[in-house]
Amino acid sequence: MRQFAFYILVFFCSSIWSQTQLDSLQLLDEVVLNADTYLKTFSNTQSVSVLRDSVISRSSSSLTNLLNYNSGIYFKENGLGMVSSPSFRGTTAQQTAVTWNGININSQFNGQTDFNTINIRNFDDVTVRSGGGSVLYGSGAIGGSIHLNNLLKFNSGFENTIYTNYGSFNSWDVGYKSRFSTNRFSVDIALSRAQSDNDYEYVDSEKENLNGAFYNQSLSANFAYKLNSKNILKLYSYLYDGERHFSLIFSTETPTKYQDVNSRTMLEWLGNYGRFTSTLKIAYLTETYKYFPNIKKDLHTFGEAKTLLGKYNLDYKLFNNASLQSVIDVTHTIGEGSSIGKTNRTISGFSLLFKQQLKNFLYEAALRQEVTNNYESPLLYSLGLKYNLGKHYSISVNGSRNFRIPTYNDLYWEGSGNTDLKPETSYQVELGQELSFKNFSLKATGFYNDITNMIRWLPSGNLWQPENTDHVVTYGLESQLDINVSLQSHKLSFGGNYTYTISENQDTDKQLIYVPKHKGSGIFNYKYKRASLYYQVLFVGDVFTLSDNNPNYILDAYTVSNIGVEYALEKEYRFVLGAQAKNIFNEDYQSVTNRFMPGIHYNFYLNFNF
Amino acid sequence: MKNLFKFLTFSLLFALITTSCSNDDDFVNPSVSLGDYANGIIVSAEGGPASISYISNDFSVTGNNVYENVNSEAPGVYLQSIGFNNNDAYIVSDNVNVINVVNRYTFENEGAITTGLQTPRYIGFANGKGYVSNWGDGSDDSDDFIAVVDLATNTVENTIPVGEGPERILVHSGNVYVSHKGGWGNNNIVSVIDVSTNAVTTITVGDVPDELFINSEGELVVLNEGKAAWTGDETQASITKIDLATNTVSETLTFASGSHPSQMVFDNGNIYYILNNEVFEMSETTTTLPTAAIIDLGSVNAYGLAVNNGNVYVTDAKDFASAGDLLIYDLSTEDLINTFEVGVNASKVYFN
Repeated sequence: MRQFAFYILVFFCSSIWSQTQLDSLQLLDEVVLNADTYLKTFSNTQSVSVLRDSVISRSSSSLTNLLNYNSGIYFKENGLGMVSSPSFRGTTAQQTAVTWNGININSQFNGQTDFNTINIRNFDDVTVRSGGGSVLYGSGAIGGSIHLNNLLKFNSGFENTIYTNYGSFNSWDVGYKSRFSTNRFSVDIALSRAQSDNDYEYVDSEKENLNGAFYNQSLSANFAYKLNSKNILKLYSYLYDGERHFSLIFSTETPTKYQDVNSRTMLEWLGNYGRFTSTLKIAYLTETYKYFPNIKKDLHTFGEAKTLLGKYNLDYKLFNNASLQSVIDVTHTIGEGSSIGKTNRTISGFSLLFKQQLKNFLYEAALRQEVTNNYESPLLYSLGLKYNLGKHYSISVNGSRNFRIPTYNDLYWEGSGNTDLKPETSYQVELGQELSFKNFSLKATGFYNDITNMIRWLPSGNLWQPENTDHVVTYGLESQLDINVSLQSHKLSFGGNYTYTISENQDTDKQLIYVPKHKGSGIFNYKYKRASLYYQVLFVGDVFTLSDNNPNYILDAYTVSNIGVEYALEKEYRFVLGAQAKNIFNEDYQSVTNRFMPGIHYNFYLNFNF
Repeated sequence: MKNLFKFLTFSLLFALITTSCSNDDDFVNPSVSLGDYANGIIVSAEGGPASISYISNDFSVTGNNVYENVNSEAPGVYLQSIGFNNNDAYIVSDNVNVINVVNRYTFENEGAITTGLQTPRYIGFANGKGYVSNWGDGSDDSDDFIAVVDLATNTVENTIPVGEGPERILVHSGNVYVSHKGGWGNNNIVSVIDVSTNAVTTITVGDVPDELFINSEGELVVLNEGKAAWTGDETQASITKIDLATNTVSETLTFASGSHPSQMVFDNGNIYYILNNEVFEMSETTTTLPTAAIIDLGSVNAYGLAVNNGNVYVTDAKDFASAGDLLIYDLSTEDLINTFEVGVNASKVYFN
């Protein structure tokens, strides 16, 4: 019963109950609240993979690096730390949604998230949800979605962490996290900063990465307060400030830089009234960027968008094993930029979701319709079934219709913007199987995705304009294997991902550029008492860089290996020391043509928990 | 491809040398010593990646990525144009702010102009010096200039401030003529620089002037593309003729509203340009614009045009993210006679 709808709430309420019963007899259970409830409640028939602190702390601070080694998503990175865009299941960068505590944060201007502008240290978990999710998460959840979550805890006491990481190219990654909670009140604050001169030498060349320095800093503060046994108020806030110099291919290019400042605030009121659960969210998001075409001058272009979002969610437990949920939301955005006049856009949405758990069988269905005067919005839906065959094997099938809406740039760019654009739409179906034992789990999902009305900027004379032109079909296989073996004080674990992806333009029968057919990654970890040794490996198959799949313009496959050691100075794991060597075989590789990545490099870290 | 190409070239050289040794009488001027890339067509591609292709005049030898193969480095990120002077070719790399100097027949790098340029576009030669149009900073409409290059040292010895967006450079009897297409904006002037004093005068022409040449009458002919509709201030395109004795416009042929021709070239007394994906031909003496095209380019994304020796050369940029094609049409039959794969966003065709 606790496995499905309102897992968290039920858990939470039961702990309140237990608290009143057992108050003085035992330590109170720690209670965890996640604002992104759909990951638990309406993601049962798709592959969801949660990356927790143990994985996050061994990754470098960028979201690109974390997901490159821990998911099947492919990244195209313009050199280390530079612009980074994902291809999830063979889709485009705009077809991966990124959410912050359940709210879609892809840029209003270009519809995508630059995965190197997200510092993972401020989040408690990063969840990868494969496949369509537009019914739940809106625009861009076609290939899949990435969820940045802050978990608010009650009864967790007072916890502090200071971490500091220093490495090659004068790279610093430092921060402080503090968490304090009682049974009624919870606060969670994190501060982080990453910076690097990023002036690495190219492998097998005398050249070095020029003008690649960057820094970013984030501050997050999250609060929860239990008004009474039925009502909880939560406040999430986040501020990000970053600057990157964009690296040069030739030393004589004019150096440029890019600054971005993003802020997010969300107030949430959670109420549990018998069979009804109500959630009211109000969020205010801002995104600002400035691009300096010459680093020495103040002249720049900019974009600024402010979004106010209201969302009301009412869940009704029809039966003990079934729930019906309705959602009403309104999103109002005001955006402007150097080439975009001040433009408002309002999108209203209505969703209906239903889920039922029968004995070995679970099904969930969802519908969503958005209304806006900017474009015609399609009816979105999703239907998923999951069947458990015994304790260790399950099979699931999911079909959905998803979309990616035209962005501010697509619609309103001065002269070029095309207000007749339609959203990109996708029909997709996937079939997943999962085999899971105590020390072993294997997931494999076959997917098929038919995406039409894909927006591409095309020239008409000297003018480039976006049009709904491409029709792309992607299909393939995603797999994930996890093994844990323990023998006395020895613990051995392996986690690996492999993805096979075909992504074909239906007009030309060519594979999309920068989509590898093969991508794999793996992490081996060996732990003995308080010491760990681990090995990470990433394999990316070759990619076409021209849309005609011209064999003379292929980027070669690459394999990158990292090793790390970690040691806790004493039993309580208060001091953890670590060292990593990355790209230990000094692979000379490029993720984008002429954008060389670093050879072997090192870093050292110290985590202090108190 | 590279090895095959080298093999073919060496075979050809070997054949020519051995033949000429054994049989003196038959050969008139065998031009074997200039280099691998003489007697052919040079096609530059903007990129990315930027590249240069070669096709021999008899179409028997072809090679892509010529510069990279010879010099083991890419010719910049964005290749705008190539200027030729005596035995040298000057490869102008726009966003890299560099002009690489190579031997025009071997493409071996002989030097580079690496300082003093900012967004260079085209180079012309006069008075033993190079004149390079520069857009300056992308977001500054008042820092555009002509760089004067000392060709012996490959250094910029002087800069001449000019109006926004200097584009094509044409040298004619002691003057440098510069069309101001407008860079990131629009402009409507031609600058005239007296190379003896570097004094600048301007002639107002139509909006968005690009290609220019001197006709048989010694007049300066300029194609003004007109402001496009998206600017919100669309203007008509025109071909203007300028009397160089007085630097005044002597004749204007105006295109219909909404027509924006491009890629004007001059060959053998005729003017050619592309409009609505068709190639038009008109005599330089005609006072009315042609109504019928000579070649319909169909689905080609025409990105460059040249006319030479009875052939029309068009570069097809395709979807701007594929290797392009060079299409060769016979001017007399107007038929497509050959197609060669060239670089990405191939834009300029030169004859070496």
